[in-house]
Amino acid sequence: MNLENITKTYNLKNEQITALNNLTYKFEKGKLYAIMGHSGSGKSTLIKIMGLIEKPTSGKYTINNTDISTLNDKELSLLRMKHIGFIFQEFYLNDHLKAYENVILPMLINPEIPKNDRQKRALSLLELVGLQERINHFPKELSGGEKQRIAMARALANDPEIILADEPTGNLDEENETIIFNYLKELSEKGKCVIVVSHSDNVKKYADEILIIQKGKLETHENI
Amino acid sequence: MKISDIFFVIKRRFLEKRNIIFMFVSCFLIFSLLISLTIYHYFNNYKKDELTRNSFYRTISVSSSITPHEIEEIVNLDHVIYIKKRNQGTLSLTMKNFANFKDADIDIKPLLDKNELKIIKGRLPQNADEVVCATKFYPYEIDERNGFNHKYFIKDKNLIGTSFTINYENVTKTLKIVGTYDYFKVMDSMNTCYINEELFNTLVPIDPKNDYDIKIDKNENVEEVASILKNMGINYHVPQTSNGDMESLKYIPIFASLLATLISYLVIYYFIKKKIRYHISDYGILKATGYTNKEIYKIELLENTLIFTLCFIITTIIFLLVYYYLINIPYVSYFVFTSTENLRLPLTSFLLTYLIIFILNVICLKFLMKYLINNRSVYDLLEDKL
Repeated sequence: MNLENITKTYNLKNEQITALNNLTYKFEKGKLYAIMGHSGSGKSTLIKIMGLIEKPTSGKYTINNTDISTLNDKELSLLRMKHIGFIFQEFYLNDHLKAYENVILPMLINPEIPKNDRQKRALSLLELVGLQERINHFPKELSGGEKQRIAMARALANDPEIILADEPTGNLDEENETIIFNYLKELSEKGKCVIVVSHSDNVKKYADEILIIQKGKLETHENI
Repeated sequence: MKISDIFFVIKRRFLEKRNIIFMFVSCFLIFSLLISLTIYHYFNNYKKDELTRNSFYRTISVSSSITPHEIEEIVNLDHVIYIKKRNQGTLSLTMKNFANFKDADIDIKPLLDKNELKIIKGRLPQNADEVVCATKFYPYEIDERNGFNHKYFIKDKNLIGTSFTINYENVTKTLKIVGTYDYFKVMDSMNTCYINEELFNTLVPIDPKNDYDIKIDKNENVEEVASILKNMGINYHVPQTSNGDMESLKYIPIFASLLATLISYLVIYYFIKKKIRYHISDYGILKATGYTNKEIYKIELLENTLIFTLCFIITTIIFLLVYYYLINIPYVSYFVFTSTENLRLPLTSFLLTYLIIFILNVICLKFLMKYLINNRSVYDLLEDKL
């Protein structure tokens, strides 16, 4: 993933706010990146742009040498489906579907996963995140930590090479936070590019690289 | 994305409260559309039947004296089936070709005038000058009282003079069919008129006139034959091919159909909009996990189509129950089906209703998806920012 001079501005009541200002960075596979910074520093905006959830105002963003600004809806969706797994702070689970069904959801559009394998794969992912007892529960019946782990299992459903997590432990206690970070670290060790936006200093223990963002700019970059 | 996968996404939200309300409203709309289109269908058919079934509209009357040579010339014209002296002189001639429903002449008036007879209603004839017609028995159907069915009536070639024993309000009398009452210009058992048996043979026939009727094969050829008669210098009379009252009435169901379609559009638009807005963060989740706009459109389209199909089936059952209830009410069935041989279900109305609802669904959905989903970022959808 390569970001070149990425800028994102918002218009708010006749005022232009710059969330990201000419940010340039290159992310590699097999590493866990921690993006840190104060509230409003632009770190969430950055991860949303990287997850194709938002579009940059200017700059060039490439994934596997593909410039995303040249892609149409179908191509962007294909990229999201195959290459990106996004874990949101707010979980964003489908309330009408059970835990395992939420995990199956991304697999429905992936022709590489046969229909008969979907349930088996969803169950193994839920087992991986320690939720094998909760597969038939609806999101409203689960705690915040459990929801976050379902969101993580869903993000892994199509075996993407990039995992993006926006404040994945923001709503969780310390115990759940440790579980989540351990899973993310395992994923990076398996060769995936894991990028975590977090307020928590605990993330530093797991990160291979730490990026500090201030006022939309990359201030420091630490190799651990 | 396969249909079974779409079912996976919508299976639980399909029967949510919002959709149930939508279904109730859709049932009402479909019912209104079905009724409007059915009435329109019958009005249209009525006019068509009037023109195609009733020979009156393809009969050119020639009142002037014409020579045998001219008769021969007319008979040899294209589209002319026959030329016949008008058969008003005898009783049996009021129905020239009774076996063929289409060619029945149905007017008893001249005979009544000639014999100074009166049509009475609500009772059987008591005096010698009284004639009773089936329609005048309403709401009592004369055919029900006598096992007198349509098929028998239509097939019988010589019903004039046929005796029927009729029981009415504990009075039993044997009456004879004297002719038919000209009501809707259509032959029907409800149109039959009866007279006392003993009086039948004393009736004075109508004076024959030197009028001729020229039967034309099709309505659209009447004008062509008429112009030839004009060139031959023969006075003729072409019957009016449309009834003014019916023409103007026709606009009521057209207007009702258009109004029902417009209201359907507005209601469907409103409900789909509400539904999309309610599920907007769900679409955000789908988009974030890799679904295309087209796949989301398919999900929504299938869900709405299922709702409408379910409503259509329910409404059709209700409609059929109402329909069969109505046609069993004598007066309604008489009015609605007077110009038709069989009780035909308006299949076109059903198909058209479903088509209208489906097209409205597609149009509303396309527009709303573009407006509410396609032009927004995934983040806006997730955060439900509209």
